[in-house]
Amino acid sequence: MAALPRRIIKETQRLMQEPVPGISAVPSETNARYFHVIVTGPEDSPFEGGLFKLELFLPEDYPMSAPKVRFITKIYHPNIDRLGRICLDILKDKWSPALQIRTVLLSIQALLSAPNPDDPLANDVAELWKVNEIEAIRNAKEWTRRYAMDN
Amino acid sequence: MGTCWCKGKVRDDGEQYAPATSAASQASPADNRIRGPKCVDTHVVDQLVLEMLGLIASFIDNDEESPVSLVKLHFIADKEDGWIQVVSSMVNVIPLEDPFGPSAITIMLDDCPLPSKESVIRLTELFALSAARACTGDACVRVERNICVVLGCLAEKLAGPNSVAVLTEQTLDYLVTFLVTKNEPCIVLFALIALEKFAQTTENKLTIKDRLEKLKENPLLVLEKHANSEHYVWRQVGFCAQWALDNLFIVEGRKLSYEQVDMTGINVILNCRDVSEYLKISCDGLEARADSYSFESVRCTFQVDEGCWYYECTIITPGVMQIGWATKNSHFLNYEGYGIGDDLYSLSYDGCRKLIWHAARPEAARARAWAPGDTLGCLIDLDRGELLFSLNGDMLPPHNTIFHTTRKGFFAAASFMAFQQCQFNFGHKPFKYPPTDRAFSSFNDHGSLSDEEKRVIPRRLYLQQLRCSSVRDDSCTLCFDDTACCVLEPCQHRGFCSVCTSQLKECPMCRAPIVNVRRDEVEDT
Repeated sequence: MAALPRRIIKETQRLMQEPVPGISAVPSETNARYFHVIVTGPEDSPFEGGLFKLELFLPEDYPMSAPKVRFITKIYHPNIDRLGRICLDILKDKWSPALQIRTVLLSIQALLSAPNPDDPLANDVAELWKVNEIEAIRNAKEWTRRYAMDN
Repeated sequence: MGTCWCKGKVRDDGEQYAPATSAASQASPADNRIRGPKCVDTHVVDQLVLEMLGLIASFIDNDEESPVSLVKLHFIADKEDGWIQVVSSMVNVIPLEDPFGPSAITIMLDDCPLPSKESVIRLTELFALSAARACTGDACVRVERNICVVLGCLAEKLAGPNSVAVLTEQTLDYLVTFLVTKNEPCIVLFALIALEKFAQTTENKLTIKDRLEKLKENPLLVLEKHANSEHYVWRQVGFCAQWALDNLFIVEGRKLSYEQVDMTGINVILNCRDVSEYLKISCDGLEARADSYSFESVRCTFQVDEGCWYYECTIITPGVMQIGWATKNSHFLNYEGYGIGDDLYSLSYDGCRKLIWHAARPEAARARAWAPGDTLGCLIDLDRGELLFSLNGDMLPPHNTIFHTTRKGFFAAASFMAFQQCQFNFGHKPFKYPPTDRAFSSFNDHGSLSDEEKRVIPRRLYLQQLRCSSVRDDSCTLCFDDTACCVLEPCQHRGFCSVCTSQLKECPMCRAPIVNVRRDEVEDT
């Protein structure tokens, strides 16, 4: 394989030794750049009780460019579209090579706690979130129950 | 391009367009068509799937808008019942002979939003998987092959507890029953690949291994003997069985392939340190295969800077591979779908779509589509500044555009779409169609490899070795490869090596613009 940077080895070791609470990131056995991720829905959010599966991939020029992350479990969230793509600045123009897999996953968990309908990726969801937050939250809870529980 | 081979073949099954009897009727042995829920007219969905299949062949620009039929399929698949209907339709109508068939299933499934666990379970129930189904003599090869492809995709996409839920006793029975030589090789192949993908989830891996061990004879040990078969589908089965035995389902007492292979006289191979993650390389380093959704690439171990060089490639599968030449400046962006021929530093031949690729731009090649068993000849004449391809000895016109940007540092290189495979001859055995119009050299006569470099060890062992390695305290905090020796000014943040620093515009810690970089005094740390 294209020589695996020590950075990736080091981060992987640390993720295994000191896991982040509420987040599991396990590298694929055959691909050290691909991680199976599970994020627990944060308490007091409509996603509470859900287990959300994501995939995380470290591109060839990581850490100079951001990891590619997407939700595999369906989720009702204004900043996540129906293909699971995430609108998060640190995954785009605000990436810094000092950020890590763990900090990225923590930010995603924080995004679940604090949806931002003013910077939407899923427009219909964001719209409802703005005009009728109660119903939007009800949908998010329903989707969490349907797709992210009992898995 | 864009011609759809499949349209004429759709009606090879009399029941093809019979209306589904009830919403969730199960496939009976007499009629192998999978009858899913009917959200939309079955005929319409089937037609969309076939249209999509035709489009994938001509879909060459990565940045192109999604075709309308794909958007429509996504719309239907967005509802749970719709998803089941789309997948059932793919299983029913994707023809065996289409070289894009299996990759098309992978691409369409990967782009569809994933359904709930219940829908996946419902789908597998609809398949009515069992050992008996796999044994049925009149089983429709196309439907069974497609079911195996779908199971493999789902296993990969759902890796984790859901993949365990799909691999029921019946699913396992169904797949394992196919693993015998009396079956159609294309079903054996995709049953084997499905098992490999299920094994990405550790619990499944143990279940499968356990099952294989309980059989009188481990079927993989029989299948791996086909690795050198002249029958090109059996050869793929052999390749995949061998890979699975080396990487996933280790059999006690069986030597790993790299420990048994005779490398005498082989002086150039595919470089297993210069390959994207999912490409599988044979133990002799001369055959490669991809089974993942991404576009996998590899370079060989030998670099050419001047003179005239030739190598050959035996085409094992008829699908998309881009085979040719690349320098080290060419990057393998497997997930973005960029490979050899997709940048300024590489040029490749794609005999499936009959295109020559350079700088991600295709140019039509006047040749027939390649077929398993064909020989692609690749010639680079650095003195005359010409690149030439030949198919079974028929020379295509020379190319020279790549030499405008690059004059030396070339390697034989190739990229593979899902389920594609080919074998390289760098000159360790006689060429089939050596060029006759000029003198040339072969890599193998000039290359050399240490015993260590000749060892194509299974990736899991390589990763194990890497993970045990440690890191020095004064390493760069970004790459951990080099020594941290730079201080950024004016912010004064430190802990970065010069290689990383040269790629930075702003400080990774505080985002302050970097005006100057000062070398750190070692004592400072």
